[in-house]
Amino acid sequence: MELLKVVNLKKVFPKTKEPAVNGVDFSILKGEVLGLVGESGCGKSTLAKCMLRLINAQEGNILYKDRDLLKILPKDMHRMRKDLQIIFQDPYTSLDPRMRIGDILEEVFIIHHSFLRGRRKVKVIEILEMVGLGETYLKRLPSELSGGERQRVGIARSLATDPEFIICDEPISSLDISVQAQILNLLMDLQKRKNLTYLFISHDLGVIASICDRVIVMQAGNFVERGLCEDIFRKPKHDYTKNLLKSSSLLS
Amino acid sequence: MKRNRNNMRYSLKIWNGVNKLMLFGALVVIFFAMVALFAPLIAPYDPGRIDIENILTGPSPSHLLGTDSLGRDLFSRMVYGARISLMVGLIAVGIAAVIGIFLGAMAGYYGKWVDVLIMRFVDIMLCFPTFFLILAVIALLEPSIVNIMIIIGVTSWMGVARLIRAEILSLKERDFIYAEKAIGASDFRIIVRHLIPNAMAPVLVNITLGIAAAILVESSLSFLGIGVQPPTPSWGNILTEGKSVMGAAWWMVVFPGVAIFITVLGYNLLGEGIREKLTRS
Amino acid sequence: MVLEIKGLRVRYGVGEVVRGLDLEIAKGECVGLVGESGCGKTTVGLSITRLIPERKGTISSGRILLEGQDLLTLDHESLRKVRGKKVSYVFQEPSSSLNPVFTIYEQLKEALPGRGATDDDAVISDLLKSVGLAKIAGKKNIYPHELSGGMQQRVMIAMAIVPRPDLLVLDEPTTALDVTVQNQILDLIMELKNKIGLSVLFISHDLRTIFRLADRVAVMYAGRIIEEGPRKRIVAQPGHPYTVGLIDSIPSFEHRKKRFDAIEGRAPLFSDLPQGCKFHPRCKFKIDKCVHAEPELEELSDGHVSRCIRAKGLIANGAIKGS
Repeated sequence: MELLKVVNLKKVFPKTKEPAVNGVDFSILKGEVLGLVGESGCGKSTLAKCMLRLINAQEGNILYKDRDLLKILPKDMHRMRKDLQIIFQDPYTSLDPRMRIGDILEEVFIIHHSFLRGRRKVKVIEILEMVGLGETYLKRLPSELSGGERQRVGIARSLATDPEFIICDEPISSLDISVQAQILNLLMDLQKRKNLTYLFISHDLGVIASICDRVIVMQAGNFVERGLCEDIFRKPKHDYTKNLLKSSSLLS
Repeated sequence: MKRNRNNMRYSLKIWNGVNKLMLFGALVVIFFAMVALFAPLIAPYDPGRIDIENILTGPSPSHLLGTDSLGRDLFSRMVYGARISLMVGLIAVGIAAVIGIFLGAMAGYYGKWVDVLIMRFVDIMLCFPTFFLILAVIALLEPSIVNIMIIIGVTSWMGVARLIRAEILSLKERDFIYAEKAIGASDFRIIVRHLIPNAMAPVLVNITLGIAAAILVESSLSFLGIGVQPPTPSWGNILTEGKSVMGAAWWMVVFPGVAIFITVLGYNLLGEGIREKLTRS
Repeated sequence: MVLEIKGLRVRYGVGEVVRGLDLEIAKGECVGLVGESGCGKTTVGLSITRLIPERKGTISSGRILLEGQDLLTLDHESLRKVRGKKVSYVFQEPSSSLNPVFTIYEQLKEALPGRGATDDDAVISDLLKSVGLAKIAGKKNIYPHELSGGMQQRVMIAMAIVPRPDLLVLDEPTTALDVTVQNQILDLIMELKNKIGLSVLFISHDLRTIFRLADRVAVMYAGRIIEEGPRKRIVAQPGHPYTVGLIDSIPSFEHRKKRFDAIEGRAPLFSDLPQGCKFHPRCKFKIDKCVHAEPELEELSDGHVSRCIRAKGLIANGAIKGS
């Protein structure tokens, strides 16, 4: 079943002539992990931000539950945000440095008026435990946490609205190797347990290969190849894909 | 136990980071704040009490800083004057901060025409010679403490606005702001709860220095006779009264002059100290 | 030996971050020093020419011999002659290592040993060609910002090899680059190493790049080496549970859709190191004995050592093996 469909999405930043995202089309099936791979500056993060309307795209449609996210009223978009979430790359900049972990998570409930005041704290602890942290983290500041712990908080925040779709924008690339594996495990477990759908963005083919069902290869704002993970890795067609594969296979 | 020790070491480190001049500034600021706060307890006389028997007497045990041309106790008038001067400084800067933070945040967050409009307005405000603008406005309105505070406030917010805008321009591209949008936070919440608190550090410096500047402006206006009106004492108008009797009563100009000087110096040193600490960390 | 580090100890405010480290690099050899962030690997690199900022920390003991000369006892003037000449560095961020207001040409010229010679231009051209920058050879007015990250890193490498150093220290030289560019840079380093017989200390958190380049691998954890040996041996049969965990954490196509056998928990803080083996709180194979005393390096086979008391047993019964 098609969960989300992107049609001809285009984004041009005012200062550059070349579009960062050049009219791309794709759809995401319910419950799958769709990989988006490309090198820095190829437009993959811009695409992610456009999809959730964190920045505005110039053209295109984003169809979700028969509605176009680029055209619906702010009030409806606010409701949709509960279903569509994002995890960011750098856990050092994705948490407000002045807020305590408990407040960061509780804020999600306040914004969406979920739960009564007394219940919120219980729910926050529940979510912290879901990502492998616990009550002891409530009063801590982001600066007191390690990179892996911060990323777990980032994941917890995205889970707090109980979404069905999460964009993982390079969620492990700024973490240490041993922690990367922990976070990948967590993301895989959560996906299975909550039947989540992921758009998994990474520059690392190894990471893409280990978690994704289908893959899209992006270069300079365009999709150059897409297909099942097995096909892309066994029988790449586009030269750029071949080059990427060669570079990363030399590294393993 | 272990945690405690770490905390102690940390606080020691902060202590090392405070330079001597900043410490002096902080002490001056605290001292005058205390004087202003507890003025009724400190002042030995009513600042308005006229004593014809003791006109222009020099410093003595009964009148520590001497008396003025109406026989009023200078020390008491200085203490109450501190109240006025500091209050004008704080409230004027408070007004400036509120205006500056609001307009700066709007310009920084919304960008585009909002930014252009606000920043051009800032440029225009900066073009006016502020002091003469104040003189002109006061000439139209009647000089009163409230008017003085408002007029200083609305002519000195531009620095704050620029600082806040610059900070927010860089902060709003950070992932935690995108994360707030993703969880559905309103613009108001993003600006008030996340952007402004994170942008306040340099503004704090500006505000501290601003208080010094406001105290100076108030003193100057009062000295020119269009600021705080007698009999309410302010350091500036005490100085004016002193000017006419300077030959006979040096204490009438020296003490208010020194008080203004030290207070302004104190705020400036404190502000510079904070700035230095912020840029180093 | 080009470089011998003996019993190096470095103390920072938070505690001892290098806690007695021995490392040797032979002529023409590339030694990979691998470990996660905050394990002390960068400090080791900086210690070689005493580049650790004084306010951050100090070398408390040990000897660092470069071609037999102890660098830790040198006076400032002699040390300055070693820096950038006998030992040169390439760091992670090329953009912050190059001066933005001078042209590439001027900066390379500055690095030449006999400055002001008439054939400078030709030398610089050759140099640029040798690091794969034939495109800008001969162009004098190119500024750093006009180059991509990969090209900037090539310039850094050019500057580092100009004085024909005895030792080249590469600290995460490819971490900031894209995979395809990463590969080209690694190729270049390999080529230079073979061509001019460079001795290299390659520091990285990325096991994959280390395995690609290094002849010998040293794995660092909590300020000490916990395993060291020829690359081939370690790939085939790692000798420490931590190394095994790192290898198992590398994501790949072969590993599709399976949970990783990840190392649990987080690296210890230097202010609060555990008793005994520093890895035991995260180790699957820990026994009571691990908690009591920190193990010494034990030889597993010729030139392959491990700081794990159970290494031999675990290898014998197949509990830890290569992938």
